[in-house]
Amino acid sequence: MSKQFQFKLVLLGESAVGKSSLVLRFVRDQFDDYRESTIGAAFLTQTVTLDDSTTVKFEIWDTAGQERYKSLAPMYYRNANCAVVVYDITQSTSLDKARSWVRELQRQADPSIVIALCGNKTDLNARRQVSQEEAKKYADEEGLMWGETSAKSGEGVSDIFTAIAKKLPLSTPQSRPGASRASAPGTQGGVDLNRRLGATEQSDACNC
Amino acid sequence: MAMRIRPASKDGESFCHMDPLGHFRFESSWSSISLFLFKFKPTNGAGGANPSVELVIDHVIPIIGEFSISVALSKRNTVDLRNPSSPLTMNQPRTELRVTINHGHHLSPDQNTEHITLLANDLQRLRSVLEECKRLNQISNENVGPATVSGTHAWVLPYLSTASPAFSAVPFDVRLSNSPLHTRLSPASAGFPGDDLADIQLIREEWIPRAAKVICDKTKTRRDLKIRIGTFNVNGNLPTQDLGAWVGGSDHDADKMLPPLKKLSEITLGESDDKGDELSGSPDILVVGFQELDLSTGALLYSTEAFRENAWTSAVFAGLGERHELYDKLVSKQLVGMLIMAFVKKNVKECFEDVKTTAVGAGILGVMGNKGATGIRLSFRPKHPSGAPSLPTVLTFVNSHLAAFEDMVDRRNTDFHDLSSRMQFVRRTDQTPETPTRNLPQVVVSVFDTDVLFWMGDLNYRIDLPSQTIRTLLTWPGLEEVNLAELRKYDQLRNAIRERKAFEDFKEADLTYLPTYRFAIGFSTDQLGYDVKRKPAWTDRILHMHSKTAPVKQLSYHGHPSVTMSDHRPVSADFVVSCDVIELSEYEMTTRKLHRQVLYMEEEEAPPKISLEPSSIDFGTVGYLRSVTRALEVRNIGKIPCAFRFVPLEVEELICPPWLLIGTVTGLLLPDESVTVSLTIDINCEMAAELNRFRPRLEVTLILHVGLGKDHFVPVSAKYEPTCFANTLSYLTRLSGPIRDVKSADDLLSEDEAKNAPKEFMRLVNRLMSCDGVDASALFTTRGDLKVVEIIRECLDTGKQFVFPKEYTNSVISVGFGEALLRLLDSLTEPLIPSSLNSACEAVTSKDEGFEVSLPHPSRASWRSLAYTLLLIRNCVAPDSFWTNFHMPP
Repeated sequence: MSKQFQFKLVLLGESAVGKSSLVLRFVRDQFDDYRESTIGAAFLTQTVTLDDSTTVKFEIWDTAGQERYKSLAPMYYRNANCAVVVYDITQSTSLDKARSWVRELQRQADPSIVIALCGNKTDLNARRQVSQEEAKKYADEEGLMWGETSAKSGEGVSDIFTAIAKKLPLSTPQSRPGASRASAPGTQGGVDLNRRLGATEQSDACNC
Repeated sequence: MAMRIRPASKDGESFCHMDPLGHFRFESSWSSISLFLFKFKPTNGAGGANPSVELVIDHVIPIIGEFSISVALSKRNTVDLRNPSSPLTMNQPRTELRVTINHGHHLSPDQNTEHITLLANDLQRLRSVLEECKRLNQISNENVGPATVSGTHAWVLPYLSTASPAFSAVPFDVRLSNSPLHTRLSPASAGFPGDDLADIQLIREEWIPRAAKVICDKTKTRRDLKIRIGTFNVNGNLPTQDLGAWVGGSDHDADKMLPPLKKLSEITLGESDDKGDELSGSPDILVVGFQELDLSTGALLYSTEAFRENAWTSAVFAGLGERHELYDKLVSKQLVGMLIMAFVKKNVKECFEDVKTTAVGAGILGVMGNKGATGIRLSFRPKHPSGAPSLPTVLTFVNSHLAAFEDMVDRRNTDFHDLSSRMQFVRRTDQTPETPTRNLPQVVVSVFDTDVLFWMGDLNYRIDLPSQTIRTLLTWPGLEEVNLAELRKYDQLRNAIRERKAFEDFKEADLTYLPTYRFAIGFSTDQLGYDVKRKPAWTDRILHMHSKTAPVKQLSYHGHPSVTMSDHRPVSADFVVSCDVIELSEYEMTTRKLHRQVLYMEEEEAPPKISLEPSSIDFGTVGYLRSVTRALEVRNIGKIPCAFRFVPLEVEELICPPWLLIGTVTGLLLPDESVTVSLTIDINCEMAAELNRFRPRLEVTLILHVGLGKDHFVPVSAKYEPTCFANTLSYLTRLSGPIRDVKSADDLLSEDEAKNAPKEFMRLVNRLMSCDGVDASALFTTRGDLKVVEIIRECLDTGKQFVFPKEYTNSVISVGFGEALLRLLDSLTEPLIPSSLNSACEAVTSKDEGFEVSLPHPSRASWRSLAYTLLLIRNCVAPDSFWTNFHMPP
């Protein structure tokens, strides 16, 4: 029998760094040159198969990057098992913003959350402002996973999600507390907010 | 004779992929077999007494003719990461199977004959179901040759006609149709959508009949149904008086004692329809409920005697006077002392169909009939102008007698819940000529499965006041209205309804008649004729409840003191029910069409998409008692229907802050459809009291969740302009200038610097003192123009001079100032005289005593304001006229 794990993943980062494009590439393998700014939080799912007996279903919340919606972000990263903090390699300010997201996650989110720092838009390498070394160094200091992607070409997109899937604790089967959508038929009722991710003991969770 | 086979898929929860497609079961009758497809019924928060999972029939597919069932692999994409050389392989199907079922018959042109598609992932169980289907299909084809649904599968027809709740002729629970839908959806918040699948189902089920009625609106007509209801505890008596006042609404011969029954019709002859106006025309239906019809002990044991019922039937007809010829007795139901009878006008008699009765005992041992209820349920189906049958409006009438004695209020509440849950009407499903009735499944419906529910009877609720107080209030001259209002506050039934202990969500018109219990004759009575040993009470009541689709207007609610033959007085009420007359076939066709459009919306591959216009909402400036509304257009720009709902930030929180009202909290949109959601800010006194302290910006981000889709953010903002209303006097004295100019706590004067009395207050009083040549008697006694009050308030808030448009006369302005002062005092968050001193003040009989009543911590502001108010009252107003006509603003 194959085991399916379900994890809640949230995307954070400054406006226009390509969060929605990254998800669109990952979930539908598509890319739009012109995407409207996300006003809200989009919900998508994608399943990755790790091996013959293990699949991981990501429940992805793609959040709005605009500053005015910042206060709503905690609603989406609370109870998340993993977070992808995205910056734009052609905008050095977006890395500063990413750092502040990482700080906020480390302070406010679940202690066992797996955080990945993701530099997007490698197809625009010519206009690069954030060097790989700088980002990698910061990620190492903070114990984050790190990778670069291009939502436009697809480069590195699945790698970063796969790496997260492998990093997540796959010891507890099936319904993880972060899984919010009731998938079993007949399951009624809502989300038990008291059922926090019981993983404070899982010390291996976020040490890279 | 149905035989049930339950193959391996009995515990089908894990069998089907999607929620609504849960369960397979087989039912076979001789050689005719049908496949039943069940879905899970979402349990409703309200009224859902049974927490267990319920299944409802979703589809019934007779296994005949071209019936087929096939399975294919589903095309759901996932990423396969086992092969590192291809980073994005998107076409790896999982073990998910698509089951397609084709109907083998064509019942009628509008019947849904499209194939049904389900998703499943349990290969083993699916295989056994498929094999069984194939086997049964073979049997079916071998046995009867060309099978027809109306022939060999006739037994399945009722299921087909009621297969979906949307088509069902049984109305939804009237209590649910009154509770806002969003309160029944799963708990959800930002980032936690709750149970989207169940929510979509609920939203859809509510939407279909509503949308169908909108579509049928063009061809529908309205029929106002006039209903008169009466209740009477007759204390075991036989009719000895004219009941005209009670049943006919003619109170003219109120005090006449009319001994023998036979003469009644002669006397009342020629006097009818004299109660004109709203009651013009006699009621279409008259429903009367009696209690204590028979008090003999034998009646408890064998109670079928028709003698008393016949006597009261004659008395009702006699009471109708010459109009009795217009009526027929439609139906009656008796249980020991309780009798309910319905009389209908002959010319509309054929519009009443599906007449059912029920009776439930609640007395000794919980079942004997000395207490309990009897009920009548009928469908009102007036002919549509086209001549075709119409959609029924279901009316239910309950006559009950609840537990007696003042301290048994809990028992009465329990009786209500017990009776309302145990009363059931058994109705057969739609009868058509080709369906033999004996095989029809019976459907049991509750008293709440109705469009309108009337509940009458001797409910026995009393007044929680001392006997003498009640009698004093009832006899105090000149203040009947006020005193009845005071008595109403202590009425046990009103309080039970308010506290949601019984008769929840029922409506009752104001009790403006005198208590109807308990009257006596002779020495043991008070001056109104009430028994001195029992507290007078409103025991006899008529309540109602209705769904949104059948609005009810109550025209009257009266006691009838002229009918004196019992220790109770009878009570009557008149209602008008607005019934939609919708062609049944058109409605059914429409609901089927709508049903098809939205049935599988949660299984569509395309994501639901909506757009919001505008993307954020700025109300500009808002203020105290200034209602501002903005529109938000929600449009479905996706390819599939979508359901939406506003959700709060946190599960237990409100969807929006108290200062904001959302007009439409949940809805369903077909592709390209849009709905305008109204957003209203209306700051009342309570909110103003909180906002006045430096909360100029009102900001919130609403979260609009699309079922199985995005959370949309709608930022809402407004600038609040503070007002001098809804503050404390001491706060007002610390304002350095007009309240609008005070931006922060730093602008406030310190306690020591505070003024003697609020400037705003002084401005009002000074202005009133200088109102020369104005009729002072009008001050405080006539209502002021609210426009003037608004101008005054604005001037106080901004510190500007009082300037009024020319159209207002001096006296209107002066009265406006009086009104403004009263409203300012009324809006204070701490009253001028602390409420703790109210009783002490009431006891004061002289000026000297008045000085003795001291404020515990007298604030200068309060003292000064009080002194000015008293001075004003003395100077401006003639004391006599003031005290008799004094009013407070609502």
